[in-house]
Amino acid sequence: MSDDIHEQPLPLKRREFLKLVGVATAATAGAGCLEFPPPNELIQPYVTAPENIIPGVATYYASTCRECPAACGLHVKTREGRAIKLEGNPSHPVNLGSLCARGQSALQGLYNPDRHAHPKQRQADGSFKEITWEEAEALLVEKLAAPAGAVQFWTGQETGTRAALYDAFIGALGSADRIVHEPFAWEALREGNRLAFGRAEIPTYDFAAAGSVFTLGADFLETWLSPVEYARTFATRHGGSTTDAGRLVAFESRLSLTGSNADEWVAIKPGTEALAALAMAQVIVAEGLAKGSTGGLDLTPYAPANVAEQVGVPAEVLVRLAREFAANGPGLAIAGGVQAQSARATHAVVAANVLTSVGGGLGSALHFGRTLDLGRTHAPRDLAPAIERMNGGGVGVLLVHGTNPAYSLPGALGFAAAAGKVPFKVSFSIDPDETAQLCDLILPDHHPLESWGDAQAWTGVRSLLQPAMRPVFKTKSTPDVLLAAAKTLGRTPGLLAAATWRDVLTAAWGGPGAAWDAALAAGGSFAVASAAPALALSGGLAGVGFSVAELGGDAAGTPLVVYASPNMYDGRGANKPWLQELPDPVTKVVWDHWVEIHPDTMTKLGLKRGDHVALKTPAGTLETAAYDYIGIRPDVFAVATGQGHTADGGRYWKRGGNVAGFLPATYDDASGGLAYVAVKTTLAKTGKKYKLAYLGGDPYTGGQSRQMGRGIAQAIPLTVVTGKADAHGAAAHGEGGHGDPAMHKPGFVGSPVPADPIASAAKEAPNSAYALHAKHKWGMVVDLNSCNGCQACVIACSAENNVAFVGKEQVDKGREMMWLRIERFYEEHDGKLEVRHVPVMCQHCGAAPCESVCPVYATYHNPEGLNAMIYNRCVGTRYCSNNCPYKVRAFNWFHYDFPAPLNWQLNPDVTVRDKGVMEKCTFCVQRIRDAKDHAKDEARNVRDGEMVTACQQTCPAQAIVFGDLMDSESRVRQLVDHDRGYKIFEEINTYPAVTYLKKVTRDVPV
Amino acid sequence: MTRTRFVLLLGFALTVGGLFFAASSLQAAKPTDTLNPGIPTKPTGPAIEQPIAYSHELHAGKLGMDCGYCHTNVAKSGIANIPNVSTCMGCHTYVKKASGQKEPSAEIAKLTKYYEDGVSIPWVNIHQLPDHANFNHKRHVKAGVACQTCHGPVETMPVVYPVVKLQMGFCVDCHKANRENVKAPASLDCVVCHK
Repeated sequence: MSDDIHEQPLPLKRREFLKLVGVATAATAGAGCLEFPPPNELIQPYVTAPENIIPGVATYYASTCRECPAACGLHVKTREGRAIKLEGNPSHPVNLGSLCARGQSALQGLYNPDRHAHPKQRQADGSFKEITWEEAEALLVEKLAAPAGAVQFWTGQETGTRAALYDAFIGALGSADRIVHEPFAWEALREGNRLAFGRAEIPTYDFAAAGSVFTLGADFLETWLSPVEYARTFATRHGGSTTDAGRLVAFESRLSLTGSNADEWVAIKPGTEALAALAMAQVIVAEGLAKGSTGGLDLTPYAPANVAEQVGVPAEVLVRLAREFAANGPGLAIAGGVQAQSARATHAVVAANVLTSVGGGLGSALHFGRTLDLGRTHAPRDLAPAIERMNGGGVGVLLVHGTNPAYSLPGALGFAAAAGKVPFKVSFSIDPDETAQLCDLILPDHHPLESWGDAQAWTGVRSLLQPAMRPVFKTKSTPDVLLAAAKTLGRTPGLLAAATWRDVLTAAWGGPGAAWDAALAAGGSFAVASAAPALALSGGLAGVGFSVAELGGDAAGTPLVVYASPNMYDGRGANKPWLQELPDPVTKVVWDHWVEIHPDTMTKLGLKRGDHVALKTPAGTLETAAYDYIGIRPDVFAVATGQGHTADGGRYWKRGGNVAGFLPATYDDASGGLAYVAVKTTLAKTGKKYKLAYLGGDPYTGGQSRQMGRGIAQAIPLTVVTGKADAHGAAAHGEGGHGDPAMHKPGFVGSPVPADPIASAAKEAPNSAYALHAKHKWGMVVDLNSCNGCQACVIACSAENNVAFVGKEQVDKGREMMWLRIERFYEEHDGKLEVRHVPVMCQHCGAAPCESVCPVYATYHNPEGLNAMIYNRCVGTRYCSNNCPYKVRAFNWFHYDFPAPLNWQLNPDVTVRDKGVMEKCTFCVQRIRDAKDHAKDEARNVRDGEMVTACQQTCPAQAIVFGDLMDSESRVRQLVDHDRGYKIFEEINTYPAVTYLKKVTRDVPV
Repeated sequence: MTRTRFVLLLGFALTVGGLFFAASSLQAAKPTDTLNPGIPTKPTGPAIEQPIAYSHELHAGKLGMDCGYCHTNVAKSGIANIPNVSTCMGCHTYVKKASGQKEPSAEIAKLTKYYEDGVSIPWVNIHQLPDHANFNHKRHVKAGVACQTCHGPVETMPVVYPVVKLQMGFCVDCHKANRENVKAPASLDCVVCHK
C-alpha cells in the first residue's frame, strides 16, 4: 500500500507544522475578534409615532382580566405596541395590584399560535376555508335575514354593556333566546342565599374579618368566585401571628390547595357538607355559644352523634371543631366550589349560612354591603329545553360566543348532536375549541386584551377594558360584527343604532369627556361601599329538608369527586403552555390529567402510580392515569376538570380525559346547577402503561415531598409566637425538622450567624473602589405564613424573564426551566396531614457555592449582593448547578422554541437564552436597573418599595418583600431580623439573601 | 520551504497589523475629559448605502442643526431612537429642492413617497451593538457623553460610517476611566450591560 496517503512523507517538519498551526489560529482568532460586524440589521422608525409612545419606554394600559368572572383590574405593560406583561391594577379594589397564575397567562391566550387567524367557512367536505370579512359578514346577514327557524345565541358569562348589546341584538331578531352558559356558575350559592337571607345574590365574604373560616368544599384560594381578592383578605387575618390570627378548617374529601392551607383538614364524605355544618351548628346552639339565630331550624336531628357516620367523621371531632369555631369568632362558614357541587349543593350553602349565623359572622365576615355581580347565567338544568329546541328543528341559526358547551356540558345533554340539527351555526370563538369545530362559520372575536368592554365586579365597582394593542390576527370585534349585521338587516332599535361598539360603550359610561377619560386611565370607576350592614337569617328554614346527596352509578362503585383545576380552570387554560407546565399546586404533576387515589386504596386495588385506568359511569368512560395522593379519603376517587380537549386545533391541549363530558346530566335539586359530584364509578386497569411527569422528582419517596429533617419549610406554633416564652429555644425552631434529632441539637439551627461578608467588606472599607458601588445589598423576605402556594409568582417570573417552557418529556427528565418553584412538603403529626408551601428561587448567597466552581466566571457576586449570571460568558459546564444546594439553576439542554406569535410576548429587557447556557433567578435585575434609572433621572437615591420583583408584584397574599438590606429603614431590613426569620440550609454558611419567615401553626385547642 | 515561510510571515504580519490597527483607533486621544477623551475619526467600517442619501454633513454640519432636533428621544429612552418619518416631513413638506437646485430633489421625493405610502424607511443600522449587550442610551447622554465619542464626527459625514468598534473593550476602557467620576460614576459590574 505504498500509495496510501498516510504513508507519504509530510511536506513540513513537525515543529514547523505546529508553528504554522499556532500562527494561523492566532491570525484567525485575531481577525475574528477585530473584524467589524457587517451591518445586518435594519432600524425602522415609525412613520408617525403614536402619541405618548417612545420606543424603549414601556407604556401601560389599564384594562380588566377576563380569565375568570372575578374581573380583576389589569395594567398591561406594552413595549413598541406589543403587550409583554400583565400586572394587577394597584388601584382596583378587587385585586389591588395582584394577579393569579391564570390572569398572568392571559398573554398566552392573546398570542396563542392556535387562535383563529381569520374568518372561516366550512366546506362541503367538512374542512374550513379562509374567507374575507366582507364575505363572512355577508353570509351572516344572509342567514340572519331569513333564518330557517328561530335564532339562538349562546354566550359566556358577561356583565356590563356587552350583555346589554347581546340582549338588544337577539331581541332585534325577534328572539329572546340568549343562553348564558358558564361552567363554574353559582346557581347553588344564589339559591342558598335566597333561602337563607331572601337575596339570590353573592355577598361579600370578608376573610379579614373572620376569626375562623370553615370551608365546605369552597376552594377560595384557587377558583371560587374571586380568588385573588380572597387570597389577600385571607392572608391579612390568617397570615398574622397574634392571638386573634385566623383559623381555617377545610371540610373536603379531597385536599385542595385551599385545604392544604387549612390548619386542619377534615375529610368528610362527598355530598355531606350540609350535615357537617349543621352538626357543628347544633353543638354551638346546644352549648349556649350561639351568637345568632338558626332561622327557625330545629338542629336537634343533626347532632353530631346522629350524622357522624353519614359524614364519615367521628362525632367528637365535630364537637371539638364546633367549640373552636365558636371560641375564635367571628366565624365564617362557606360552602360551594366544584367539589361541593352535588345534588345537595344549595342545602350545603344554607347550612353554611346557619353555621355562620350561630358563629357570629353575619354582618361582619358575611354581609351584603356590596354584592359580587357575576351576571345572569342559566343553570344547566334549564339548558335542556334550549337543547330540545335545537333537536326539534326549531332553531335556524345558532350563534355561540365565549362559551364552549360542546366541551363543558355533560355529554348526556347531547349539545353536539342537537347542534348538528341546526342548519347554520356561527362561532365567535377566538380559540379552535370543540364548539367552534361544529360550526359552519367562524367569525373570530378579538382577544379581551385587544377589545373594548366593561365588566362589573362588585356593586359600585365597574371595570373598563381597552385595547392594549392592535389585533394580532385578522379578527373583528364581535359587538361590531353584530352592530354591522343589525344595520344591514335594518333592525337598529336602542343600542343597535350606534355606529361602533366603542360608541355604545362610551355612551354607557356617560359619553366622551373628562369622566370617561378618567375612568379609562383608572381602569374603571370604583365606588366601593364599605359599610357592612347587619344581617340575619330569614325564618322558614325548617322547610328545607337537609340530607346526604345520593350518588348515581354502580351502587358498589366508589364515589367520584370532581374538583376545579387551579391551572386549567374550566378548560380555558389548557392551550396555554405556561399553565400546562405549571405544576398542579398539590400533586406537582405537569402537562397531564390523572385520577387521585389514596395510597392504601392503590395497594388494595393492585395499582401503581402511572397505571392507565378506565373509570366507568353510566354516562361514559374516562381513561386516565392513576396517581397515589395522600390528601384524599381512601373511599373516594378524584379527578380535575379542564383537560381532555378533543378539538384538533389546539396543539397543547389534547391530554387526558374530559371530566365534564363523561358526567351524567344530574343537577343540584334546588338550583339546577350541574352536579359535579354525582356518581359512583368503577375502576379497571386498561393494561396500558403511562408516565406522569412531575416537577422535581418523586412526590412520595423522593426528597420533594418530605423534608427528611432538613428544615427547609420551618414552622412555629402560635403559642410560642404569641407567648414569646420559648422563642429562642428548641421548640421555636424544632418544627422544621420533625423527627430528626439533628435539627434539635443546640447550635445547629438558630446559632448566631456571622455578618454577611460583602456588607461588612463595604462597611470596613467605605472609600475603596470596590465599595463605591456597594451602596445596596439586595435581599428578599418570604413569609411562609402568608404564602398559600398558588404559584402566581411562578408565571409572573416566567413572563418577566422569558423563561422557556420545555414540555412533559423534558420536565420528566428534571429539565424544567422555571426560575421559581413552589416546594410542597407533607408533614404528618399524630396522623394529621399538614402541607407546607415554600417558594424557592435563587437565594443569592453571600458565599455562593456556584460562583467558586465556574471556570469562566460566568456567574459571580456583584457588588450589590446579586449572584449574577452572564449568559454570553457561560460555556455550559453545569458545575454551578451541580454545586447549588437549592437546585435553582436551570440549564438549556436544547433550543426551546416560543412558536410565533408566542415570541411576541418576550421581554426586550431580558436576554433570551439559548442552548448550552445556564440560567436562574436574577432578582429581576432589569427591574432594579429600571428603578435606578428613574431615580437617576430625578437625581435622587432609589426609594424602598421602588424595586419590586415580578414575583412580589403579583403575589395575592403579599408574602414576598424585596429591597435593600443596607437601608436600615427598608421593609425588608425590618423583616430580616424578624423572630420567625430563618434561612434555608443556614448551617452550610452560604449566607442566603433570602430570608423565610416560619409558618405559624395553630395549636390552640379550646 | 519558501512557501511555508511565506505563509508564516504573512500570517504574522496580518496578525500584528490587525492588532496595531485596532489599538490605534482606541488610543486616538489622550484623556483630558474622561467622558469624552477625544473624537476618533478614522473609519473602522464601510460607509453603507442607505435607502435615502441623507447627509448628516449637510444637516448637522452645514445647516448646524442640533442632533436632538431630529433624534428627539435620545435622552428619554434606554434604546437609541431614530427619527420618525413624520419628523423629516416637518421640514420637507416645504423644502423640496436642494439649495441652489432648480429641480426638486429625487431623494426628498423618495422620502415623501415613504411618508405618503405610510411605509417606514428601512435604514441600515451602522452602530450595531454585539449580541447580549445592553446599552442604555439615555444614561450616557445624560451623563454628558458627547454623541461624537461613540458615533464619530457625524456632522462631517455625507454617508455615515463607523469610527468606533462598539465592543466590550471600548466600553470598559471608558467605564474604567470614569469609575471615580463624581458626577457620573461608571460601573464595572457585568450586569450593568449583560442582563
